Amino acid sequence: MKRSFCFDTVSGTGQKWFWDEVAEMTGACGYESVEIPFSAWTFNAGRSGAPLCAVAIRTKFGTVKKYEEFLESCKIVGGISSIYINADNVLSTMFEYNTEPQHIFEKLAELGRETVDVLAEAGGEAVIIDPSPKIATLRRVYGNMTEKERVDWYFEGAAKAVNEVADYAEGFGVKTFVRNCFFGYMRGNEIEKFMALVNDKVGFSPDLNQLYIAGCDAVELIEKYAGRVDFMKCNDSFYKDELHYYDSNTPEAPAEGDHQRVYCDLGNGDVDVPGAYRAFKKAGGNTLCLSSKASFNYVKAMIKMQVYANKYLDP
Amino acid sequence: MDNIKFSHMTNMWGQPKFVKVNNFDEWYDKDFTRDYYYLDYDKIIRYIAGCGFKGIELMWFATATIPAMFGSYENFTTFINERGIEKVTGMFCINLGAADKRNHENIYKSQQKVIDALAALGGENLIIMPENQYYGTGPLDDEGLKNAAECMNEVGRRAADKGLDVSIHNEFWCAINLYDHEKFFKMTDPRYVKYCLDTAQVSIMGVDPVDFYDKYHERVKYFHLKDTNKQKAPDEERFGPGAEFDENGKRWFYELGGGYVDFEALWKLLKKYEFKGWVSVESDGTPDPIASLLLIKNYIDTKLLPIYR
Repeated sequence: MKRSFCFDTVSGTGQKWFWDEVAEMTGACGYESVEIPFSAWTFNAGRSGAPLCAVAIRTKFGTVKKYEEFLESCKIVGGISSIYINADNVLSTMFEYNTEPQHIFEKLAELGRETVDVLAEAGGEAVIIDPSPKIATLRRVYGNMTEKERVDWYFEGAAKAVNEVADYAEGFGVKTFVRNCFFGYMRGNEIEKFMALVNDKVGFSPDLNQLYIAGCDAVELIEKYAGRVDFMKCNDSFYKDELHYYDSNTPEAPAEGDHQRVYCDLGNGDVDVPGAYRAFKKAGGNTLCLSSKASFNYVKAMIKMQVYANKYLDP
Repeated sequence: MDNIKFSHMTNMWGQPKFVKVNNFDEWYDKDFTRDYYYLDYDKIIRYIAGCGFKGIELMWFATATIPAMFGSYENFTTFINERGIEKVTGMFCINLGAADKRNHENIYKSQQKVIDALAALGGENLIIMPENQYYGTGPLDDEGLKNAAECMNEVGRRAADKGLDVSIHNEFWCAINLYDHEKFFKMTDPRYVKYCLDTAQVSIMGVDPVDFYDKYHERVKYFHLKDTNKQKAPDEERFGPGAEFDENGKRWFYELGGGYVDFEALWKLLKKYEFKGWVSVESDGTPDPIASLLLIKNYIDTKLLPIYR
């Protein structure tokens, strides 16, 4: 089973030297590839040395191919295996640039295609799309419909956008997967309705702590999509959304109560990652994306996640 | 009553995700780090106020996050008042693409949101970088400079409608740079456009901030104080891609007293010209925001206030 290191584990400066070191350490820790969470087209993302958008990679490395060669020189033999994009980031970027919100599906597909171009040049495998912004944002921005109308309209539009990306990606040998967060319309088991709308080219990428927080059985979903499941995001949480913050403005940063920490390092929470792993292996999955989102100590997390995988996943 | 009050920019803390974090244990257990102390607005505001600063400055993206986190700008103002900060004094933003007139309508739309937010916060000064980074944009021709000036004037006029100032903030990596920044400045309308003198940015660009203030003191209504030991950086460094994020980790900015800017000479001029108002301080790029905060305030108290306050 391949192990990919998710760059969302890392919080740090935008300087190139920092991210070059992250890559070197990733290779030294034995990860075969990386998954990059792409930011859409923001000013700061584009000018920094963090390889978190197409513009940044091309600005600092010249071409995506050169960045891929750099990763390989760090002994990350598979380079970029997957890139993750999400509709919440697309919509907030649209606000920043005063793009009218009705263009959300068009812009999501546009970022999808741009991401596929990067993967194609890098020889990467998969674009992974979280198709829904925050529920609270959707209700606020598209408030001129009933909830049912909005949900139906959003599911249909997002499915069309994802299908367009999948068709485009197929032409480059890149696969397309969807992943669902706990605070979007496709949260938990709602993803099944979405999977029924997308074509067979689109697979499912389980994000374990998101499914856990949404109160859904990850093993059941993995088994349901056997043959269409890959790039499982192995991460952790001990958060229980008792105050139902999932549809608030700040679902990942609950404002009240004594339980505000939504994410923790892999191995420090309650997600049944080994159980999900066994189901994933049986279902034909190939790549584990190890993540400790916004870890307080990303170097320690990088090493500890390999320790965890050695002990509990691939002993 | 002091002539000068001090404000601190909040950008070096990143984007706090929480208003207030309640339970130390859930952030400390198993990690054993100090990150709990850097997660929320509650503590960050109290650090700044605890050091004796009376104001804060925000970045333009706060226009999205503050209403989402606090419910309203008024709630945020109450929040900071309760913690010892008198007001949000300014907000920083960029007139991205201003050299091309076709971008102006979109810029006005964006900046109107920032103007409205700053007015709702009871702020004073919209601090504007006049264009994009130099890489990929500069140098500007005369028409580009004229368009950028026109854009600045219009944003300034709109801000004045809401009782706010607009001030130019040059950056060492901006498309408007050493060879044309004064030409650009003179193209702007003094009724609507002031200047915010960033002592480190202009030093790195190759301009002596003390001389600049002496020459333009009538229009320099605001300051971003920070130090640098990298005066007169070569063009190829300033004009490179993402110049502020140096590829090799070079630190551009330091606490007051950590570089070579002659703040004492500057302060003598503030006294000469009887400057009154808010002076903002920044700690961009610091690896330790609290250390920088304390060092800066100590420098102000021991070196500058004895000259003029």
